[in-house]
Amino acid sequence: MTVFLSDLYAIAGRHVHHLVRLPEKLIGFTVMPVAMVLGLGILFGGSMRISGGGEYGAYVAAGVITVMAVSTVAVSALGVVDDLQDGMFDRLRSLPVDRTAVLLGRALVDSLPVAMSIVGVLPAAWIAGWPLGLGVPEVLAAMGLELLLGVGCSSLGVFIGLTIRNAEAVTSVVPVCLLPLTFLSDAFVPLDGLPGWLRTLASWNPVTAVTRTVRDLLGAPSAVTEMSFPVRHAPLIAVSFCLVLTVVAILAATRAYDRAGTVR
Amino acid sequence: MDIAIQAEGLRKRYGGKEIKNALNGVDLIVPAGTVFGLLGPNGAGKTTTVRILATLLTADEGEASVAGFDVRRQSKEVRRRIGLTGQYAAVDERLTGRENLRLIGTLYHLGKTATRARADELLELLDLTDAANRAVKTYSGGMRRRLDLAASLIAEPPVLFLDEPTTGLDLTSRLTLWDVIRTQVGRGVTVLLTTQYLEEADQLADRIAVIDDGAVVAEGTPDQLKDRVGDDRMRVTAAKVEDLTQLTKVLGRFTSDQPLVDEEQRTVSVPMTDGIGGIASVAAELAAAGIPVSDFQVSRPSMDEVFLSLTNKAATRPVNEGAAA
Repeated sequence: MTVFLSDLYAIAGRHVHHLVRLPEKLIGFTVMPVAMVLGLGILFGGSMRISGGGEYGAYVAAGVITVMAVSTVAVSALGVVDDLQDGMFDRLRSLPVDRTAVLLGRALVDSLPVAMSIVGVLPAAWIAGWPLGLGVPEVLAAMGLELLLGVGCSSLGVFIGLTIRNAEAVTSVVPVCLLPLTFLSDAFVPLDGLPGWLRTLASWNPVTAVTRTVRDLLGAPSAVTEMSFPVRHAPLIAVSFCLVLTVVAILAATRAYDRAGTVR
Repeated sequence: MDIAIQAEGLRKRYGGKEIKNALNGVDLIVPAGTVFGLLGPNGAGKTTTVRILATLLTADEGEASVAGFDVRRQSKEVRRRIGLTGQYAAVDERLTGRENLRLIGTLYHLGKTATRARADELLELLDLTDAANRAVKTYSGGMRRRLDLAASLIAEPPVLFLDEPTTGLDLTSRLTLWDVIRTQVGRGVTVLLTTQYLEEADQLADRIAVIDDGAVVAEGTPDQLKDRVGDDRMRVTAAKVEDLTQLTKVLGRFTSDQPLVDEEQRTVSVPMTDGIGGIASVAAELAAAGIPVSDFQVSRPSMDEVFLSLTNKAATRPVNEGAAA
């Protein structure tokens, strides 16, 4: 266990160095969601009616943060492809290092920029006049949940990168797979306009569960009209999904890691 | 005699009909404290062999052990005892040279103090101290390769795998690397070296295995391999490339084997027979045939000729071991 932790610390240190040396990633994760929240809030704010009241800008803020957390799939997948191609994975695989530490270390650090998304979005929404309840414990809890989703999605990205192993394929496949996950949720649009079966599907979507939980924590309008099971248990669904995703993806990734030695 | 690396009947197939890089039963025995050269053309299976021995790949069939541990069942034990320098410099571009070495030392679990001291020592040894705090992406190819070698030396492993460590390097960098490798061998380290540079194998290796189409086609000391090709050879270079066929035909009369032809150099070589008399008759025949010659040499077979005669080309142009002796 101490070996695992020391390996994890060393690998995470490597990726933290990358984050600091290549601040574009951090800046992107801060500026992009702010632009989205302001853009969507101002452009669609007038025509979007949130049932139960509230501003659309406040509604969409949590959705945008969640979508940023989901986008770490691509970030991690591309990072892994990079490591595969420049031989860094060969180096790591020839060392007596714990393989779970190698993969989890990347996923943990790749999810960190999501915290920057929250740090950027909350003040932006507040300044734009969309009232959010900014209590410190609630904000920290929201940040924790989004980071947890980020870790799960990064882990998935690590697995995808190790499986697809090609940057172009990653950039074309990953967005297509993520699109239904983010659009078939209440991240951007309230679900009450959807036909019944689609609404059921979307309310069970983990992206919806995470977004709802974060909205509740931040006191943002949630546009919920019926208290169905997934609505009542959104926090439970959100947390268990993130944990299960992380464990399953890392396990699958360690298997892929063992097979990653094929001659190019 | 301790055996550091042992492989028996290693086979590896890649998906599809691709036979490139595949192994068809490779056997190797490398005594501890020696340099073993693995020589062969691209795609012969050198890298595949190294990757299997370094636990990066699993063989489909066959057994291998490194430093006394089975590469398949005890891979973690093997990884504690090996250093690997690959064909592609496997260092982190965005970290500095020093950070790279410290990271790798930490992952070998050397302990903080030992890692730091060892990293500085290797930076000094490989002439990277001035660049130690610069990101690796600013390094030249030679500096990267030296850092890669330093990375594989940091835990002072008893077995080193060097997969084409000097490919594409300038002469100075190559000599530095050779020097470091020799020092390691002096300390009792076992080195498995793959190379396309015959001179490199000749210079460094105690024993050489020539590998072709996934199998070892010859093995021995550099001198034994040269002996297999024969004694001194006569090398004639045609002045004009269009005379090459004619030249090959004339020289063919002086040997029971096929002459070795190097089209790029316009050179044809055959084993030397009858001493000075042989040279005289070859010269007379060439004059009679009216072939202008730009160079005529007699020398010991080069590793190139050993290589050409032992690898694939040997199938079409066999060299009879007895004929030249």
